[in-house]
Amino acid sequence: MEAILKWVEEKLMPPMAKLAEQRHLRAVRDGIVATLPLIIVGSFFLIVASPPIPALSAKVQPYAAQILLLYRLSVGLMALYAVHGIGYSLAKSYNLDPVTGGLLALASFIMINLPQNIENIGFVLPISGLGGAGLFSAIIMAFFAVEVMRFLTERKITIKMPEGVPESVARSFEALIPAAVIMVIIYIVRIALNINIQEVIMNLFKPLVTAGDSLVGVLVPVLLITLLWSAGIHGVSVVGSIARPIWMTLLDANTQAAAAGSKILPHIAPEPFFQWFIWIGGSGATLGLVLLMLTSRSKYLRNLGRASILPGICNINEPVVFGTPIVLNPILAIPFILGPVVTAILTYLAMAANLVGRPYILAPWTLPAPIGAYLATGGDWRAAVLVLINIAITTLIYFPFFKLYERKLLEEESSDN
Amino acid sequence: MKILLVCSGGMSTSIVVKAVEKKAAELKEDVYVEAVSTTQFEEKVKDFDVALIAPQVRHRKQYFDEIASKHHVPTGVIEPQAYGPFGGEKIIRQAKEILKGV
Repeated sequence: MEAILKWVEEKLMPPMAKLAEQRHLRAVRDGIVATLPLIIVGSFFLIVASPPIPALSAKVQPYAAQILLLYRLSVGLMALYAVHGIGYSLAKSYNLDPVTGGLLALASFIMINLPQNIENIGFVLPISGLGGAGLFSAIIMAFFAVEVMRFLTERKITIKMPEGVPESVARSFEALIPAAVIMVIIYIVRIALNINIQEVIMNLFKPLVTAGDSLVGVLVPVLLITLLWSAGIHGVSVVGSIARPIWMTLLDANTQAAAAGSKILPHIAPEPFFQWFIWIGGSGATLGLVLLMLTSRSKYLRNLGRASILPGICNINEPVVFGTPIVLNPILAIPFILGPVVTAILTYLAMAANLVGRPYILAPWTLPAPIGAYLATGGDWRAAVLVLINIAITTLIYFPFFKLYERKLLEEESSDN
Repeated sequence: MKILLVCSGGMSTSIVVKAVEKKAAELKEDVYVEAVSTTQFEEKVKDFDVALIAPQVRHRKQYFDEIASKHHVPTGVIEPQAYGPFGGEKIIRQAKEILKGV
């Protein structure tokens, strides 16, 4: 185990951390994270439209279409909201004007979605390409727009205004040439050559999205996250910057199916799958460990357990990870890594067999896990039961290692006195 | 002494804030401490004497350093053992040492 931890710290962590700090990935992360409030609130309209209580559900039914409108304009436009933030952050990282970067990214993305002329209404932009399904196109188009901007700015191919011109005016002139270049390229590719860029990009990333929803696609991020945390690095923050676009695409497909009234949703593993069923009490499912600590004979572990139980219920576990510590601890790192693998497999199989509903609602991550799981599945009580089973399993897995570590601490505590 | 703590979402550092405040009151130190998320760091850091980075985001130190150095705010990474409900004293000591070195 010590060899593994050493390998994680020296070999796995540096390249992963570097990757997560790569400016394009950072821009994607910041852009998508900025949309989360809208998506959390928007996805709750889905629960309101079809509440888990049958009697209530029947009453709401006539208004469902109306209630769902705000869901469609928030979650349903996920890519549209994200693309601006991605362009903004990427431009900022290059020290380019972020407002222009966001604007050009937004324009590039909208322009690959062609409007249709509908009789009696006029030109209409279909929103189907602007939600989760368009997320990868949004990312690519934001990169495209900002890279064009950077290319032209670095080569000084911009219109510079003389000193004294107000900044906002100068800024709009500076954006003229990049805007022209971007629009001409999109015109040639999308309209003149009639290449459906959206579809091409979607097909390109389809294997990745399919893989992300497989059992292996679930276990890889689970393992990477616990391995990184066992070296003391925020695993979800690192792995999430790469995996979140996939998770969001899966989530959006599920919300759309739910909004269309299907009972069995297409995907198992959007982010709430990990959040509520695996990371119970925080990454590494440490709630089980904290429960064991509460009655520990070691004074240190008992105090730490008491101080960590409330944060733990809210899925904040840094006090446990660094306080116990789990970080670089060859005894406790084993259940920390093993437990989530076991619960991930169990949860995946339970959802694949439709014993438990699949997640499609994004709820704030600091909710207690059984409540979060109940909400995430649109009110499936079996999800809350599965969470309780998972807590029991991880507690059992922690138990022998906890005892071993407790004995070690007790020896130290008694030799101190 | 004004200390800014930064982690990923600002959640876990808020627990550490309590630990530092408690210890500061015990030691009768004049300490003001606040926790922020990575995204809030940029707008907040200029108002502080020293910025301390949570160990789990130490891989982003370069990013925090770039922003902090614009406002001449020194930074440090909190040592893992100090990052918890009982680490208040260590963090106050670390902040002082960093300020002494400036």
